Amino acid sequence: MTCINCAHTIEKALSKLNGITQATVNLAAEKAIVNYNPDIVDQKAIEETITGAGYKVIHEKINLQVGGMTCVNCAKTIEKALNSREGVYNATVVFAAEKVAVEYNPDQISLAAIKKVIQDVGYTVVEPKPQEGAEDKARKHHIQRLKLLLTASISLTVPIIALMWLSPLPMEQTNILMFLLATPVQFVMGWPFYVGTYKGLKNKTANMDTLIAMGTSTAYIYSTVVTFSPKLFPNAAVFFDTATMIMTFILLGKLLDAIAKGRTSEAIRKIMGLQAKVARIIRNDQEIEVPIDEVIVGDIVIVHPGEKIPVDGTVIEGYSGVDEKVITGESIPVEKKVGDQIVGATINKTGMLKFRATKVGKDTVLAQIINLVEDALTSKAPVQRIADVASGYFVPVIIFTATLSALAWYFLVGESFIFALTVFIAVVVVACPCALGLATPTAIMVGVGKGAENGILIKSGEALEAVYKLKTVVFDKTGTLTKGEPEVTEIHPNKTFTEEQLLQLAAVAEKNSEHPLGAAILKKAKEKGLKVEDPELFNALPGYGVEVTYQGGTILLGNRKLMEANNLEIDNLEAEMTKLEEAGKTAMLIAVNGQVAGLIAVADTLKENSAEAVAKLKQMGLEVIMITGDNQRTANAIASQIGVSRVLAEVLPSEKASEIKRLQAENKVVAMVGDGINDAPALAQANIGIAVGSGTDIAMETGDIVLIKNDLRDVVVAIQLSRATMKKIRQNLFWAFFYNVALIPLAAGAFYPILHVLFNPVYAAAAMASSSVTVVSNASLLRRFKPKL
Amino acid sequence: MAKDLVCGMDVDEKAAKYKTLYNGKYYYFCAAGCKKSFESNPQLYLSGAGSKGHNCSCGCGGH
Repeated sequence: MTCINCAHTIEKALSKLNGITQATVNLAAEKAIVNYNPDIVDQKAIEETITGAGYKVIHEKINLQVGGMTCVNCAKTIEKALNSREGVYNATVVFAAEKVAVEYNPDQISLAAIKKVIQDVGYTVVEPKPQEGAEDKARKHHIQRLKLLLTASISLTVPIIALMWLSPLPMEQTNILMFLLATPVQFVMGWPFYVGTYKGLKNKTANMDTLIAMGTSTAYIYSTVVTFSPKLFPNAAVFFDTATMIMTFILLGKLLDAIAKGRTSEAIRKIMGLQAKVARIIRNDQEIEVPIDEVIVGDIVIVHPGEKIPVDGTVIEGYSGVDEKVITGESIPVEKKVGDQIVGATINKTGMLKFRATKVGKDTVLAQIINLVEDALTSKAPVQRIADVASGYFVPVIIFTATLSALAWYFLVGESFIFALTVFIAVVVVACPCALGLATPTAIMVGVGKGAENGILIKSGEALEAVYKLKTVVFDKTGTLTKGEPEVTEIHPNKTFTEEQLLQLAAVAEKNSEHPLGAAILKKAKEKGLKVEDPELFNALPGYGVEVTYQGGTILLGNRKLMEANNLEIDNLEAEMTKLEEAGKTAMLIAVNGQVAGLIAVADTLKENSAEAVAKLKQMGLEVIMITGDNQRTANAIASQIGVSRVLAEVLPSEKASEIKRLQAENKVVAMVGDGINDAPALAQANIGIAVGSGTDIAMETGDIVLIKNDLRDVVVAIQLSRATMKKIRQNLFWAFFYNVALIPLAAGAFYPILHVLFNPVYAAAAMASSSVTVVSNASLLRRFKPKL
Repeated sequence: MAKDLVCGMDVDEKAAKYKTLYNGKYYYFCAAGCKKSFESNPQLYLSGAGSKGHNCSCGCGGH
């Protein structure tokens, strides 16, 4: 139904039908209320009439999972029971899938009643349970596996160390016993490292797996040879303890890493925790409380003041203020009335609300936000790729250094073979760049999580990296720096009218216009409580304005050209008009019955925090540019209000992206801040696209960073957070390299001549594990980040 | 009397319900459809090529 005519058409068609006493159609509610005699006419005929008149009767559809069906007959029973109920148009049971598809009229039969019908005939309705995130499950499984491996590894390593130190048996037996204990550690716990090495070699790269496999294998093979062919190395010590302890430490490091990774996504879990646990819904005409997972689309949900809204929906009854801070960051409650959308996890403040659930589980706005953050966590920053490439070079260099040191000790200094071997193993193990691999992802995870807490969704690691190098921030004007809704700023009547009279006449003229400037005038008139009647005649004059007939007279509202076309002089208003236009406003002239009556100026006004955000960005040493399709004069006026010095005006939407390209050609890393729909190409072209929009907007898809709140100060916070995160990544890379580089000379035995202590490979493994811990804990310090505004 | 350039009908300027401005000059129409057609391509109708006479779709039936 599109207009009141449609409503009449339906009413007329229905009242012609025999047996109908009264038919009223409510256009706004899209409902037809029909009083009829069921003996003469049935519902089907009524619906056919409506369909015949060219309209549709809306049916709701739902798929339910049914349990307890044993044969096809059961399916028939359910179908029959459902189809006999009033309000059910069609119920089809798919026996194999244990599903029933029901098409019904929600005004006649509730979902709960449908379920009851199924239950009454002896079957159960299986409520779909939201699945645990696959990633979360995998992580838990991974941690579980690591714990098991570590426990096994420890229980095998401890006896080896005990045998080593206590030597309760003759050496040969001890060695054999240790071999038996060490072999499973080497090949079961160590298996992933061999696989990693193989994969690396296949790609002609060396990675940390190569180092671990090499270091431990060398120790293991040498010790095995000593054990079984003692004659080759008389009285030589074995290294079984070294190999197993390295494995144990590395497993510990991996476990700590996995736990830390789980912990860094705490922010996400915090967001999830915002969700309500239970919902109050109406089933079987009774208000009952159910766990939130049991709410399904179509349920009627009741929320009392002070309660959390459980799922997304549309208000069907009540009026209240809702605190949407969790989604938008805006703490002032938003007015909600019938027909308005409400979002789960927000808080109902003042009145009772009844709403129909439209999105549940994984489809809610909150769940979508969580998804975006999760995606960001898995993306790699370019700096991470550099680390990967670097470790590809690093590994061969280390193997070379280890070999060289061992050879030097053996041949040049004349130390024993065991000494040289110890040096080799120590160097290989201490250089293991596993902390290098942790440096970036841990910091990104904390940074992204912190952003999410502040209503800033960082969708890729690349964006973080780019923000660090940022030079220029380009703001779209309309809708981003400004509210994007024109407001009446000046009412300037000639002597013959008062301000209110002029505004009222202007409002009458614009009453039926679809022009956004007209909407501003009508809004102002409404604010002032003016009564705005319909004009008798209305003509939109494209490019000029409007002309209406009202109370027998003529009202003209429009630009200079409209007055010229009607031979009206505007001399006395010209100066005022030019002044307003220079201030970036649009001035409209009004003439009543052939006399110019005054002018009304309309302008797009700035958002509250635009100027503050721009000032802060400039203070941070960034160049701020404004881009707009407006003419230079209007653009300059707005720019001077917010303190932007460089303005790109008269840019068509299609040219915005090429303007960004031009800035990038000046060797600048550019961020584009826009509202995400018309700015989409520019957002994509910029090094960092920052989309400003509400959480429900498609804008979330476009930008690299999405600001959930409609507050430009978050551009500042996003930049600060990115910088802090990148600083952490750099620190982490330093710590990872520091451990590797600093310990290599020690492991190579460079201090042996002075200290007479050789770096034991076991300590090398411990040092390596601690470098991982340092990096992870350093990253978690980022959790203390607080925006400076 | 003015001519509706879209359907060719005569229209009284004083009583015309539908009009528009183009290049500073008023044009009058018998119906909303004619006004819309004209506004979407004024050059076409000003050149005379667009006039469809009594076969237009403005709903006035050419009267």
